[in-house]
Amino acid sequence: MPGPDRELMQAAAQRIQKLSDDNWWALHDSCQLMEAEAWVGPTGNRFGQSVHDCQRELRAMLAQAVAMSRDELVKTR
Amino acid sequence: MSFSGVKLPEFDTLVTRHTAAARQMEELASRLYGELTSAGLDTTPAERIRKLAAQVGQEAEDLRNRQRIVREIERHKINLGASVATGSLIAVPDSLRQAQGQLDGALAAKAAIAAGRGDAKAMAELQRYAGRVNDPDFVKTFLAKLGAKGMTELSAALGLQVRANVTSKRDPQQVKQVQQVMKLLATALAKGTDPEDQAFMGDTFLDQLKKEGRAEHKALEVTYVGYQAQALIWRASDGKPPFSKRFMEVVGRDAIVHQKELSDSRIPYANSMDLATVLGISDSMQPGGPRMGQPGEPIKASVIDDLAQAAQYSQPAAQALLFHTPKGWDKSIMKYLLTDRLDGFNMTGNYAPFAGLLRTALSGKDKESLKYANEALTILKDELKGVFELGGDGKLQIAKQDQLKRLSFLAGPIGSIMAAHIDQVFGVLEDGEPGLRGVRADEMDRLLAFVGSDAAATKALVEAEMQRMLSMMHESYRRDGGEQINEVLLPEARFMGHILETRRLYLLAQAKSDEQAREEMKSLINSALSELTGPTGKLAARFGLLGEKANEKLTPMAFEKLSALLVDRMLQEGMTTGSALQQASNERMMTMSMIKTMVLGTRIARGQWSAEARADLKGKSFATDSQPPALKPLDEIRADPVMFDDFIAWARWHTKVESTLQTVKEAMDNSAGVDVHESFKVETY
Repeated sequence: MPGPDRELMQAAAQRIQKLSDDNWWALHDSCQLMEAEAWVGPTGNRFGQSVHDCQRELRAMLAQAVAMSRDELVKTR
Repeated sequence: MSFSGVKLPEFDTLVTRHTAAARQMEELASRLYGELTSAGLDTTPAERIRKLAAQVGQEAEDLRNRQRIVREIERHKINLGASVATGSLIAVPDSLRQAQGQLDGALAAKAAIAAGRGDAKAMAELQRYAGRVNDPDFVKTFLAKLGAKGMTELSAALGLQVRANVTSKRDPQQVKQVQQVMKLLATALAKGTDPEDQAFMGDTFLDQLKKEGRAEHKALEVTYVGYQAQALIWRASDGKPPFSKRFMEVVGRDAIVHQKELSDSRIPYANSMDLATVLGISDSMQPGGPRMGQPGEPIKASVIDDLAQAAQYSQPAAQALLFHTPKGWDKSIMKYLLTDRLDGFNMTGNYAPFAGLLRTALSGKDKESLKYANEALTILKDELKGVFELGGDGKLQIAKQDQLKRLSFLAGPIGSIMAAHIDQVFGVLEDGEPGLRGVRADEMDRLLAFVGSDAAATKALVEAEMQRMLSMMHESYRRDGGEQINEVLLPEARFMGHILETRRLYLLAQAKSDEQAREEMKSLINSALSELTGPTGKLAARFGLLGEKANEKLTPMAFEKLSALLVDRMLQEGMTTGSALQQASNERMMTMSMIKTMVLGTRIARGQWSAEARADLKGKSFATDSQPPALKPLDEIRADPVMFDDFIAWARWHTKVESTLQTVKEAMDNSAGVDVHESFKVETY
């Protein structure tokens, strides 16, 4: 039988996973619209680059949070 | 340059989505932070996401600003930048600031065109853009959208509106609005035609101004040449910023050439008045700058008056306009204006702009200023031939009143130009190698008598010579301790004799009594001295006297400063009633009194008193108690008026000023009483 701590941790890990799933695509539209040349020109190009970088980092952070919670769950026995 | 702009509707969607993303990420950051904290985990990912959310939020705000500009561009159907074939693409300048500037410039031009058609709402809207003229993108777009033709015709249209208003509605608000628009046009035009300004439109635009300036235009029943309307923009300039050298080279010179062509080919002075004068609304088209024309009379302004108004604010511009001989001409523009075109200035009586233009161009220390000042003086002395003659009573008489009247507005500027080149003017009368060519001494006396017809100009000359005298004394003391001071004072005194006597003779020729002339001459000296002295006086400005202490080390610089400081103080005392200077019987005696003061100040500044003088210090209030006694510090002496007076009396005694100056006085009397009279072949009186 899992202990109460583990149950709590499992729930937490699930919620973090959900946060990640729900927000994984937050910047997707911006990226796609920029790829479709919604705004062109030097400043526009810099913005496009920045949005892509931002999306990459957002996803990395989400993945890191999920990974940490999973590791913690494994440790909680 | 590659295309810069947005695609619709994609861009609008981007704005919405990015704004939503910022909010979503902020929410995410906060919830993730909560989860990680309560699970006892590292919160770095949440903190990092919060930063990203802030960045996205900032980006979303920039996008919304850009979207606002895009909407305006769409709404007003404005085309910025290169035209783009695809309908869904809208050109928007890359930087937001640039985009805003161009948008405002385009909107202002649109409003201006509508205002020109009589749209009151557009006129009111246009007032909002007055503050935007410092943005080069605004100015460039504004000028480009209006074009040289639009600028020209807008001025005319506004002039006609003012006329309609003045004759019927009498709405002062509207006149004020038009003046502000003219000011906006003047500022924009000055910037857009200056290669040094970021808003420079390029040479093509200057050429277009020329083309439109020469072209005939028509508004309602009025036919005019473009320069008559552009002139309204020039006259609206207050010199901030000034019109550039390039503008004067291209447009200014051409306007004068064109005016001459019209005058030569049609009737004399055809199309010479600016459009406001033609329409009879000149007073209403005069914005904040210096008031033109004669006081109390309606303003009349010619195209050339207006051009002079705009050209007088910068020396390079003024010189570029005047110091140039157009192709096919046999004289410079300056000479043309001073000779063939001279009567044009008397037709409008609008003298200040051209006077200002001459002052700006000819008063500099540069070679060109001097060369053309020389030319102007040569022209003028020829024009003055026969004006001053020997009268039946043996006195100086003005033989050609009309000619003098015709030239008289030049006395002011020519006087201040001569004051600016005082060394060269001195040279004509006193030097073997004069700094001015082609002007004889007797001709210089005629020029001085001419300048003598203008009180302010005479004062400027007297002031300039007073300053020159002090400098010469400084040099003499620096050279050999003032041993040869008379060698410099004699010619200076003679020169001052010329300046003073020519003015006096002029006054007497104006049927003034001896007594009246004497009073005027004395007050001339006093007003020149009051310009020189005091905290805002010319000596203070020239020698940097404000807040100065006297007890600096006596380096050569400090010596001159110290001398000026003492002279300044003593002359100020000389200005008070009852002083020796005030009790002098005439202007020459006053000048001598001033010279004495200057010599004394310079002598004191030098120090190095004789053994006899030092022995005489014993027991004096301004001496120390030590053995042997020495002078107290000058600052201490200066601070105590009684001590200062005692000190001056002591210094005067030991300088022996009086005896050396007798010959100087005689020299001045001789040049004034004999030489000047000989120049005019008149008796001594």
